[in-house]
Amino acid sequence: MLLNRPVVPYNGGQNGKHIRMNDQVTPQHAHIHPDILFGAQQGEMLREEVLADLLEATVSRNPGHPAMVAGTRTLSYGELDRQADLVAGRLIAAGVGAGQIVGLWMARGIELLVLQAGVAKAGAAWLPVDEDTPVERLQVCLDDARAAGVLTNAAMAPRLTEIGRPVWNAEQMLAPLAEGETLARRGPVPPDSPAYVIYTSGSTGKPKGIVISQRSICHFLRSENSVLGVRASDKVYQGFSVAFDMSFEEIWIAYLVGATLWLPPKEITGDPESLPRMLAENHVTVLHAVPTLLSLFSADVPSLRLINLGGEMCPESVVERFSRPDRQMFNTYGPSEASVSASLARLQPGQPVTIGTPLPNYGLLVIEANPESPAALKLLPRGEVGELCITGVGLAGGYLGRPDLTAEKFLSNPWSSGQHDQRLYRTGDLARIGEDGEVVCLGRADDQVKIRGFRVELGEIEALLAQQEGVGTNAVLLRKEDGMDLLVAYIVADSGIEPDPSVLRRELAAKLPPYMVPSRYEMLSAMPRLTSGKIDRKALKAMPLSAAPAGSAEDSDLPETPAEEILFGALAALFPGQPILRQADFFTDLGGHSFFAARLASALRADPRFAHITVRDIYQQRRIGKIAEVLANAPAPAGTEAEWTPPPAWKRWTCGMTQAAAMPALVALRMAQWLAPFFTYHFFTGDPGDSVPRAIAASAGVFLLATLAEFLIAIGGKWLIAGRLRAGDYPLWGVTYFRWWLADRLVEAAPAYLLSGSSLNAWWLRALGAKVGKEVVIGSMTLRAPDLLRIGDNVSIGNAVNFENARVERGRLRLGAITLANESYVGSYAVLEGNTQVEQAGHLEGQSALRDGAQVPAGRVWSGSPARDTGAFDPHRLPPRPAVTRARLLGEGLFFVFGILLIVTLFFMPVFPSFVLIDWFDEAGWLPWVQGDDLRIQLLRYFLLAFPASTVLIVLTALLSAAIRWSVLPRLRPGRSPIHSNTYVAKWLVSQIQESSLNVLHGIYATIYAPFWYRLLGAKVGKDAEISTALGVVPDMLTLGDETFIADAVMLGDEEIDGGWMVMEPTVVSHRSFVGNGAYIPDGTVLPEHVLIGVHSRAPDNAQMKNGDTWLGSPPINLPAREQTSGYPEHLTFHPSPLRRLGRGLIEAFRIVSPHALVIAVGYTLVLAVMPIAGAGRWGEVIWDLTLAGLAYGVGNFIFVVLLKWLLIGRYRKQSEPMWTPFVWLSEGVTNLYEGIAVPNFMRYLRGTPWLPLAFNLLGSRIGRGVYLDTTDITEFDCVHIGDYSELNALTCPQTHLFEDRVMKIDHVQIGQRVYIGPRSTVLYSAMVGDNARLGPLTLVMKGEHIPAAGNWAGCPAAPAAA
Amino acid sequence: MEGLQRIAEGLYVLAVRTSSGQQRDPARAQIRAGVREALASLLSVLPEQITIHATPGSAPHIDAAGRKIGCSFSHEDGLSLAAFNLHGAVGIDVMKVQEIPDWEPVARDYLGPEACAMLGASKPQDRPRAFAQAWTAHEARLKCQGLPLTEWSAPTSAPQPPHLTELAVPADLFATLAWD
Repeated sequence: MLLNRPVVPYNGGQNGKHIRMNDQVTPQHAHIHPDILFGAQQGEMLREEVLADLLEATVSRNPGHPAMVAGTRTLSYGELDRQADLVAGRLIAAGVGAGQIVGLWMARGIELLVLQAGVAKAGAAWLPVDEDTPVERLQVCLDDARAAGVLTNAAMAPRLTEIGRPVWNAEQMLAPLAEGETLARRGPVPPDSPAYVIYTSGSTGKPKGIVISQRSICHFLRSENSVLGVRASDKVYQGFSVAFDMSFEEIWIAYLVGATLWLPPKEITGDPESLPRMLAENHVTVLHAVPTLLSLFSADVPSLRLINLGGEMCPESVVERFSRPDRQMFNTYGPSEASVSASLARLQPGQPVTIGTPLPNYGLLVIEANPESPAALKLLPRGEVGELCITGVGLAGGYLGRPDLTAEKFLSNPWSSGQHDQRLYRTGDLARIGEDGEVVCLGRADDQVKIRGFRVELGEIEALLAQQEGVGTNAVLLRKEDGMDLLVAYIVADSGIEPDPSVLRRELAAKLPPYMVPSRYEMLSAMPRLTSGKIDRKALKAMPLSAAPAGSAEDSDLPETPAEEILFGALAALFPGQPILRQADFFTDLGGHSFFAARLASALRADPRFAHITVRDIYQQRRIGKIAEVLANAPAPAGTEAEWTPPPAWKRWTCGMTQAAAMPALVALRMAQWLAPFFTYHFFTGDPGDSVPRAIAASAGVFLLATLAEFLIAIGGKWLIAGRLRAGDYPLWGVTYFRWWLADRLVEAAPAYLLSGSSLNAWWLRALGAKVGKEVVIGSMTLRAPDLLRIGDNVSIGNAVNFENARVERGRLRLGAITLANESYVGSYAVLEGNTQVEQAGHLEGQSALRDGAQVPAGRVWSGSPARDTGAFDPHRLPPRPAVTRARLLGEGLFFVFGILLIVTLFFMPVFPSFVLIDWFDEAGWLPWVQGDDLRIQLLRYFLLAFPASTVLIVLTALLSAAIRWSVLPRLRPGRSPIHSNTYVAKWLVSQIQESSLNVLHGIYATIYAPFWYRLLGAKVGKDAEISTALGVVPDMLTLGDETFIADAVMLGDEEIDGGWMVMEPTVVSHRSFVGNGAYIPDGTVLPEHVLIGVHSRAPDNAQMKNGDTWLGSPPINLPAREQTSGYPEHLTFHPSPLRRLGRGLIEAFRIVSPHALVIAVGYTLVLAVMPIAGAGRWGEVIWDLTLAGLAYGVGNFIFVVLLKWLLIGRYRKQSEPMWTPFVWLSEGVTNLYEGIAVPNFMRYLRGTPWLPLAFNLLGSRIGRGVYLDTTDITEFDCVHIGDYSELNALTCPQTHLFEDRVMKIDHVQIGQRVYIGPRSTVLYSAMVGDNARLGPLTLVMKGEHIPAAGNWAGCPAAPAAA
Repeated sequence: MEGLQRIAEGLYVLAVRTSSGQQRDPARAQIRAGVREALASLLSVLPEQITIHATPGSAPHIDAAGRKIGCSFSHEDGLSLAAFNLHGAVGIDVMKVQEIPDWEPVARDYLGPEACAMLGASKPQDRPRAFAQAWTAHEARLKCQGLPLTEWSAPTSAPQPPHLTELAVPADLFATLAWD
């Protein structure tokens, strides 16, 4: 066997400039005809052999050598042989034998090559068809070849059910040998039997099959490799489709010599960007390619020692670029009819590119083009252009079943010199044999063209087009547009009705491979013709194209699946006017790049079914059809919410009724704290001889006892009702839910604010079941499941921290533990869900959210919503924790106890002057026109009398606060002090005064009186400042500039406590700056002028801010510019007229005073009514009556607000009103009364019951069935829409208005069905939350934002949450 | 702008005007040839000694006679840009300034909530330019880091390229350069 023999130089011409290899001209040929070129005559290459023999020889020579490598998979020659034997044996068993033809239709890969080798080993022939060829064309070929069956894989097999012949799957063929199964082996295979059938495009509209014999192909392999010199040590790139016969150069030459094939990953085949890198990385040494692919390579591949180009004209630039001294480059030429290649040129930079000289045992000649008859063949001398013909052993026998065509193209050779050149094949290519003996190819003589390396008979397309309805005369041309080969169909309509190009495209695509489907369809009124009557193709080519460069949208494939529908729609929006084809590559065909891929993925994700798609999928799949498959083959979508079943209505209402039964007691309990002292006072007054001071003392005493009792009832009730709750999931509206709910209401009712910042707080928490270590400082907090809170030693917790460790989510009550390890820190306004942990010395900064399952690792600082690591905590930031003596701790404890008692008593005191006043007015016979024994008349009378009295109460309370503030307490100074210091204690007392006075002064917030109140406390407040509710204020440290605006629930410069130290720094909000609802302004912040801090946002470090900035979110984001509200004059926003000030002042005065007047009036009326019963000693009846009255009072407050709302406002709608207008005052008045009387006296008891949605619906909201509401933070009721079974957890707020730029803007908030909203999340107006969506804790949905259905979003501002 | 421009020591941007149309391959070939030529003359080597290694998803680089040089390419209708940095990685991106109807989900999905909020707050007439600025900056950074475009997630600790600059390009385009 002759392998790897050194090649012998050959000079195709006598005086060639280049000394060529294989230069062994047989003299007899040279002189037979000088115008015919012959390759070397090498008889030893002509053997009686078949493909299987070649492979088996290599196998037996070197079974362990790798035959192919794909990714990490390697198949040795031995393994290839064994697997091919399985295929061969089973094919033979299925009746396939020598001479029979088997279709081969499957995706690239090792399996395909094994099947091919299997067919060879069975002695049969294969008929390869590209993976993306339509089944219809496959069918035509199989029928034409009378194929015995078709080999494919399981994935593609279902499409072949109607193929009418056996279908064998790779999976079956390659299955391990079954027990008892013996493999048949092929018998003798004559070398004349077919080895393969290749179908090429045929001009009559039917593809034509070229049968190549075993002998011919085996000869070719030896012949070509005698020049190429591929060897066993080579690694050969396998890039061609097996349907393209250049693949023989790759696959079977490699098998012949025992080289290794390298199969690329599917997605990089033909990718000029990654292919060269991969080739280099895998040390590929031999590349067979079409020149176009090579020219697009982004880089050279240093490992390549041999490049063989073919399949199309080779530009010289490619040779220039890729030539290397240590590399051989070849250009091969040949039609499939001559077994792959017939000639070969060695390429040299600087030399013209030719197709060289014939391969050994081939011959080339040029005849006059278009001879009248075969008999008149005229051989042309060198230098003349004519039709190139091929002779030699490689010629095919002809076309399958097409004797006419065979006779036309395969002629008997008049210049034959021996038995191997008796026939010649007319290639249809124009060529010239140069003086140097090199053949130059000049393109096609007929209408056959090459596109993407495939030979296409334009006539075939034309014939098929002509069969389409409405198509008359037509012509198909290959044009080059923008450097891109393009098939264009020119059509004259048959009947005057223009055929629809998209229909034509679809019809052709169903029958032709993609490369044969014209991309453009030009409609003509008449076909240009030559005088001979032939179509003037030159004229057609010269015509400018009319439609868009790459076709138009009408040419698009029609979507067939829901996924395709969405995908095609999205693509049509991104690439308007371009045809969307399944075959198209997103990047190369549609011209997509990363930005388009990003937009496409986003657009697809908007549909919840396709929420799983990522931009990576688009990069990986590339083809539109493949992307559609990935879309459709969605696994259970991650990152979107699963459907769930809400609890049944009966369960909800059972629980609701039980909750309703508990409510009178809860409401009565609250009323008792007010009514008991009322009653006491009146019990001891009114009779002659009664002492007012004694009555006051008794009343105050009762008030203190009632306060203490509230703590005790909460503790006792909690243990009695809920016991110790365990972490876990419990059904909503179930028994555990009810127990938790009731305990939570009882605990919430206790005035725990009194304990804020004191060491008593730890005891209160311990009493409720929490584990609290030593030296724990807690500002204030909400805590939903005290049993599940564990606090270590030396922990610092800021103000208004939300420990939301009980939440309702998807129909379950979720109770989870919160663990704060030693030395840890939780900043003000942080939100922690259950199952969270802050490890040793971990720090969770203010306005951060730690969601269920998250933990702050030891010594790390986490910040933001959702909280993320921002660095290590520096333990040296603060001096060591100051030591404290037991005596001091005890002293402080006593101080706190007495301080609390004193403050409670002191702030109860101003109520007595108002009592005295009412009694005095009453006795003086005021309001004589409102007299009578009717309860309603009495109520009205006392309400009117209580009005001036309540005013006195409020003024006195304010003055009392100021008096204590300015007389007793020292002015606080900025700086650091230990938490066990007098400064801390003084600061605590200031806060207590503020907090306690709020009970009476709550109404002052958000009025024009608020700045006066803050000035009284010591803050510096500029003129026209607006303060809604500010929390955590240390008045001495606060400066508010002129025209500043502090919205609701702003945490404003509260002290910072950590590591045993308290730091207080001045906090400044400068001129016209605005702080949004729920924002957090850390201690020491200086907001420059005109700054806006958004809703739920955290102010950034001072260094980051400058005038006019807008900051939003936690962590804060600097927004470049903000929407400016224009069109409202200054006198309605910043500089009102005195009359407007007066109007607003009066309305606000009424709203501040009336809640107190109401409660006093009710108290008076009641007390007077029950006094006789008490006098009679029927105390049981007294308590019962007071309870009922308390309940009636609670409900009455609610009804009062409902009526007031409808009367004053009617229905809220989308509107914008500047601040200094009556609408805003009335609206704020209603809101304030709602928050001041309806919520504390009634609504708050409805939290977490099915009754709360009903109550809101009475106020105008539209809240669906089964909604779980644990919040009362709704203001413009009519604008709130919540779908069925949604869950709004504690402190959430559908925020229907904003006051930015002093204009109240109101709009609707739409929350869909089954939406989950985590604690303290806010949905701003104009936003929509889709059905079944989820919002995490402390999430902010921005104005106008649309959260998609089933989306999982979290953060401030909201963003899709990681799954 | 057209031709080679020096941005900093060892950092160059090559701009090539291309004919507008669908195909990027010719533009690709054109700009690569330009880079080869420019580098060859800068480093006094033969153009054949310069190979451009480029794979989508990882930062391309140039092998110039054994020396590794960071490079980056970006194409938009009518303009192709290439950047190369003799001293480290580089990323370049150019895009058309245009009305993008779906800017919001795209910004949120890829640029993150910060950029999304920032764009949301910009005036509608300024938004196309602001978007192009944010997008090209993001892409330039990613390219410089050799990272593929993916959906936005929490900022990682991956060091950001320290330098970022806007490039002077025709007014209907926006281009950003990031480098080490």
